[in-house]
Amino acid sequence: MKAVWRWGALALSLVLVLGVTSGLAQQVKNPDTYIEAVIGDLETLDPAWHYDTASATAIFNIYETLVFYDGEAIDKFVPMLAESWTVSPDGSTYTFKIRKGVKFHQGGDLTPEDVAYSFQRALLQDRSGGPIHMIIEHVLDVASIDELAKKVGDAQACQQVLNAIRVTGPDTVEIKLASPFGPFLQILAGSWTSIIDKEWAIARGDWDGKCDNWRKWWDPKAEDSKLFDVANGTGPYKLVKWDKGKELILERNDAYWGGLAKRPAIIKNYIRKVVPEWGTRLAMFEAGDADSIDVPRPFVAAMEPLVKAGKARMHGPLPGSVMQSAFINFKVKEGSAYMPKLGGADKPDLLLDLNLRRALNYCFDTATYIKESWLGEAKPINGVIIEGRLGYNPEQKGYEFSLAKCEEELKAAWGGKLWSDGMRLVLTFNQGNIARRFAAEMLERNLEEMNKKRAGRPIFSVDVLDLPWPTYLKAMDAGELAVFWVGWLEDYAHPHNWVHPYMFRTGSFAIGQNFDALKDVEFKPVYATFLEAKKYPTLQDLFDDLVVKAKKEPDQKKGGRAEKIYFELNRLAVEYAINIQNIQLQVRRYEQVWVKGWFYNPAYPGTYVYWLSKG
Amino acid sequence: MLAYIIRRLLLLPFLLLGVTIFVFAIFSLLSPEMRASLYLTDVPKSPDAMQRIIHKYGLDQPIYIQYWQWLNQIIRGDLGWSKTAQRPVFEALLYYLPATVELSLWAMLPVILVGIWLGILSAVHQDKLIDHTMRVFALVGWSLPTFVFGLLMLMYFYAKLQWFPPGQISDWVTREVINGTFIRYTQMYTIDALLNGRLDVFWDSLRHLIMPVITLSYVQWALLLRVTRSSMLETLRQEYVMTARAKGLKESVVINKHAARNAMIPVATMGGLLLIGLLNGVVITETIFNYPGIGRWAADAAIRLDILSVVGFTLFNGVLLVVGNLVVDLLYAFIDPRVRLE
Repeated sequence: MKAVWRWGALALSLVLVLGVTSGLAQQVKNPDTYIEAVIGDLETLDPAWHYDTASATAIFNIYETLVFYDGEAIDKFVPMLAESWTVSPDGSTYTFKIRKGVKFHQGGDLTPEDVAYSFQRALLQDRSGGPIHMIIEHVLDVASIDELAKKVGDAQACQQVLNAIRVTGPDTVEIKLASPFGPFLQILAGSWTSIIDKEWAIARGDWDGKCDNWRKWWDPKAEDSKLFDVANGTGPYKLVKWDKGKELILERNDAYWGGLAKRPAIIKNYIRKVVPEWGTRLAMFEAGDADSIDVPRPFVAAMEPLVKAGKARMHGPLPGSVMQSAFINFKVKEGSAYMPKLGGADKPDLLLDLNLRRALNYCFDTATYIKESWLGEAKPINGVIIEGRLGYNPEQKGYEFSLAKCEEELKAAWGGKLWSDGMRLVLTFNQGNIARRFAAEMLERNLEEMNKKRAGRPIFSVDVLDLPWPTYLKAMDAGELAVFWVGWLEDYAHPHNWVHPYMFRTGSFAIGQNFDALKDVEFKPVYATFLEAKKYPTLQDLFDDLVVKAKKEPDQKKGGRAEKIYFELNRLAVEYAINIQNIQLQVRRYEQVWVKGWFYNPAYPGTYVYWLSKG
Repeated sequence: MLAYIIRRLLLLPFLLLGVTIFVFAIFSLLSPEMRASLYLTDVPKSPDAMQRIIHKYGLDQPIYIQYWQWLNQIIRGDLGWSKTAQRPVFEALLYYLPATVELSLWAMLPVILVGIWLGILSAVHQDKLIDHTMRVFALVGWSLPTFVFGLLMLMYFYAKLQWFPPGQISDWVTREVINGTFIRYTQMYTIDALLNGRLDVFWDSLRHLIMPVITLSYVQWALLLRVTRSSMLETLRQEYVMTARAKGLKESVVINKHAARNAMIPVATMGGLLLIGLLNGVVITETIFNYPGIGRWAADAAIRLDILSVVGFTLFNGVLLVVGNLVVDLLYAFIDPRVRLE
């Protein structure tokens, strides 16, 4: 029913766009106000709690971080609330000189105490499913503050936080990492490390800065955070009202310290309207009441007539920050409902065979998948790091679609037993995801095609199964799925945020792939020749070692040692066929032709209105 | 009659209790992980995130304990937190309800007046051009999906002509509310505008209401038109109507005084249910016109498995249904003196 509605809406909007739009006057509407019509509302205004792009968009217009992205660059940083910074020779201590003369929206002065408090509060709050694990991992070398507290006690855990992040002088703050992490500035540029006013937060009833009862503020529900729906930043915009479910209204901070362009914002008001229905957003855009709108991929065709008629501007397709992948589990958990079979018998480690994993890749028609599922707007990625990030290797070869090669690999799998006795494989994805369904069904067809290549009854049985999202996540984490499709949106623009989920032992996807099942793995470096060739007990041990080495490597520049280790990881991901062809999605942005100043930085969570003007 | 009303109202808490047990029982069929998805919409990026969330929100406890805790909360006047609305459930009901009531009341007026009037017109002119036209009109209204009609309206009257915008109010009025220069007494903008003596706000609010009102009421017109027509036709064939005509009474007196009132008995029942239906059935209209009412909120909550919001909305519906039916019964007794409520 929902699908019928959506398609009906698409058809209608196409007809109406073609028929109705002629003659619209191109005059600038609301010249001092920027209005966005978006699908969903924010979750919170608490910088340390949020982990969604809608909240991040609001927060990075209101609050500021120590460092920020330099224009369109994702790996160069400029001072924001830090005037300057230094890194110790061993790469583990960052010292920031805090900018003077900056005021919070409610009048407080920015001090080093505010900076230290903001970080300490975030680490001690560490809400479940939130963003702070990214900082905790590097500062405290644990997955969560709770984990640390269970090891050393509450008071000691808090003290460790205070020791790691502290005020060291009248205008300096020091952050000590548990071990060097080259891309730490990437994390600091994210809105989760926004600086808040300590006195204001405490006055609102937030953490009092002491260690004796920090648990009171630990892991709150969204609504229990004292900063849930209030804001007091130093940024170019200040909060007027968050009318939940309806709109967010910000207005220019006329007392702004200057920011990156040494001036206040140009646009006076920023309104972010929640408009879930596509047809309504389109109508708002046509009427000029929205300066930009969310356009889901299936509806881009409806925008084309407007672009062609000069009534809308389209940026793109631009390389996005999302990769869609199919993950292969080397050994499915015993008792799984999605158990693979070899010759009719349960075979949890069916996919431990490299030939079979390669066959899955050769049988996957990537070009058709991209064309049909993503309207041609995606790029095949050989490896686990997307284009545009350190470690992406354009020379890395992958598996070209070839049914002949697929057949060859299937014949070789399990020493020929698979070709003679057959197999059963369940391909899974989350319910409602049309693109993933297409991918799974295409692979199913191509694998079952192999039944025609051999005489006798069909013996390759492939099932496509969609599961409700939570069931799917649970089965994935438990290692119960044999092949599963998921997408990853990067948190920060660095390869560590790719190799960790895809290859590290506790990574979001690797956790369901059981790389430990592959024993005695030889490693011979090809790119990182400075690394020792050696044998690892398991493939997982090899991955872990390289992920950690790359992370700790101080030389994070292009052509440097870290890049070479990432090249190795990409190579290994392809050679061991841990995925079925990854693809990087592309994105588009549609805006009114009168909008000026927008540029694409893939690390931005949304529109940074400070850069924009209308006219 | 008073005893009847009290008896019906006393039944209300038991009805609501039953309804909430039913809703909780249905939700108990879902796994804690499934319900945790409300708080975790992406791949968990830390290993223990899912379990921590389940524990934090008490989703790992048996459903009867969750229900008991919720019941205790209710007794203290707390309906819980609506994740969908990002505010307490009770507050969400109060926040979204006025907008829907305002929309429904505005829609009710043309539904009843136009629907009844056209129904009578159609019956009086049975099998003539006007009757055929009305029946086609009703058929189209009944067949046309609301979202198609709404979108057509939106694209033409907003995107092209820019007469009637979506939403509830223009940004300049929102500013006035924020600045305190416009006071919201009832949370219904058209009424508040009159109370503030602000015709400009009244007109702005009305502009936002026109399209959703037409969209919402067209289907209901069609329904009421058909019910009124058939009831009226039946009444017109009654002997007392023929007697009235034989007595030489004017046709308008026969229709309006003798026939219409009796024909209104089923129409009144239908009208009461229509109002309840309007309050409940505004989901699509509110979504298309981005109108922040209770229907859109409840639908969103159900899709996201936001149990507390769904239960809150169900309670509201229960009250609405009982009170609504009671009003219909009272109306029934008023229209038809033969009916006695005991």
